[in-house]
Amino acid sequence: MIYRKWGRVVRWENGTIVRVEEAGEAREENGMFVAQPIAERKTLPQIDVARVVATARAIGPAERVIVSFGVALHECDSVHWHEETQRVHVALTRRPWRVLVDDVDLVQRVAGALARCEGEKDFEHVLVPPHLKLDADCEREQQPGGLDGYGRPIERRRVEGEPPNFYRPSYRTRPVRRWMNVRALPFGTVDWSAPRALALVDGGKALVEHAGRVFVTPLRVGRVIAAGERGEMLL
Amino acid sequence: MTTFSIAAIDELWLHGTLAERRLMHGRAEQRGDEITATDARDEALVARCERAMTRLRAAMPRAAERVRLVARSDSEPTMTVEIDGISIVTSPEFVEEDVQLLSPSPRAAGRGWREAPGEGRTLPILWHNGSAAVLLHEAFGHPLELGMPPVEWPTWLRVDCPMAMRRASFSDVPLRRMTRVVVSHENAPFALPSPRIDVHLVRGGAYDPLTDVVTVDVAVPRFTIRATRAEIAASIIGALGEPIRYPGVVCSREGQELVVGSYAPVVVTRELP
Repeated sequence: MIYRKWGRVVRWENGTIVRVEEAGEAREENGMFVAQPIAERKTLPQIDVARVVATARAIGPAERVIVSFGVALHECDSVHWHEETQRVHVALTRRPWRVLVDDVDLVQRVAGALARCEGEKDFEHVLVPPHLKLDADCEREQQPGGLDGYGRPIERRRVEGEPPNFYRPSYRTRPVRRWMNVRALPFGTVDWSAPRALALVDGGKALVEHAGRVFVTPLRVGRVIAAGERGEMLL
Repeated sequence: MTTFSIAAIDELWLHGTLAERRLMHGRAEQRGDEITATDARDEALVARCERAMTRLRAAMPRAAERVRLVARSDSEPTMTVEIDGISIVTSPEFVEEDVQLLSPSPRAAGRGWREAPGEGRTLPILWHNGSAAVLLHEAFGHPLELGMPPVEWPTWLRVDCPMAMRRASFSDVPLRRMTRVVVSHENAPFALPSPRIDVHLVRGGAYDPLTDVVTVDVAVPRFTIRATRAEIAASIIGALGEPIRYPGVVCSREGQELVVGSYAPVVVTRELP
């Protein structure tokens, strides 16, 4: 099995702009994994550096701001596919809390909420929206969409047993089985008035909003009370 | 403009069989706050890594369950040896001696000396094999990298911790990082505490600038310390002998893993949380 990737990335990392272009291949033969760069180049779309910079600057002050826009061509045996990514990792801090945000559209709202945070409060229930990824203890399903690290389609499957798909974050990394696009299956009755999680906080906590007030609360991921149609979870 | 070129080869061996091999090479050009990086190949750097990998392979303990060999053009070759879930980071020169630390006898010696934090009393700690360098790496080195305000350390304690702009690969942003940690002392005798915990090997550690809390995961015996820098500084009550090379600090910051040479004498600390 031979996998090849041609990639271009523009990354803003805490004030430094990094442009990277590289190509490489990974071979798996008799259980051995070998990865190395390749000299062959393919034409890749340009990345709008100004947009990367504007996205990062709009986030404002934060402990960590990483904005990464990338394009890649993948080839795995006879399968070819193209991928465009736009990723954001932001760490906002207000001592003693570090709040993590991976959605650029939510950064300003979360920053505003963090500024209004009144302290820690242990709520009995918390409503967690689907974009906050938690390894919660409930029935879950892999949603269909896209291809995995071997170019195989990611199909709808109940999360049980061995994952059918493989995650390959880089050509240098041996793919590992992993569930992807996972969300909770609906069950029970969701209390929509429960405090709503806005973002995850370091240490297994969440920033929550309730009746116009903001607190940090512990998350009990081992105790899911109900799940909604769109993957919302009531902890 | 500054330029940086690198090549690196790493191999993973499981029970004496080659399981993974990676070659990485590239060049970065930096102008102000902008870096342009490609995977350009410098044959001389790749050849240097191949030669270092030959040395690593010749010296590796083939019976170990997991060995990672790393040959980089910008630093000395290293190997990480794991036996029974506990690892050391060493070099072809020292591997034979260092692997002895993974043998059952020193590991068993430390077992059962400490109760879990919060569940009972704790004990003074005697840091063997240079392991106090890891404590100071986290409590002294990382805060220095990040420009944190100093705390008060014992006047007899010396920590040589030079900094340099370092990066793990051509596509990384260089960061102000430690190059080594050498702990020494000037006349810091101590009475050997008893009972005590004898620390032989450390699994890892972390420093959080937000809370000023240092975490050290001790591997032998198995327990975790979480304390503020000030608490750690106040806990250091004595040291004995010359700095000893500690086999194993692969430091990760912003996802960039770099080896940091680590040396410390035998150090004693009071009870830590």
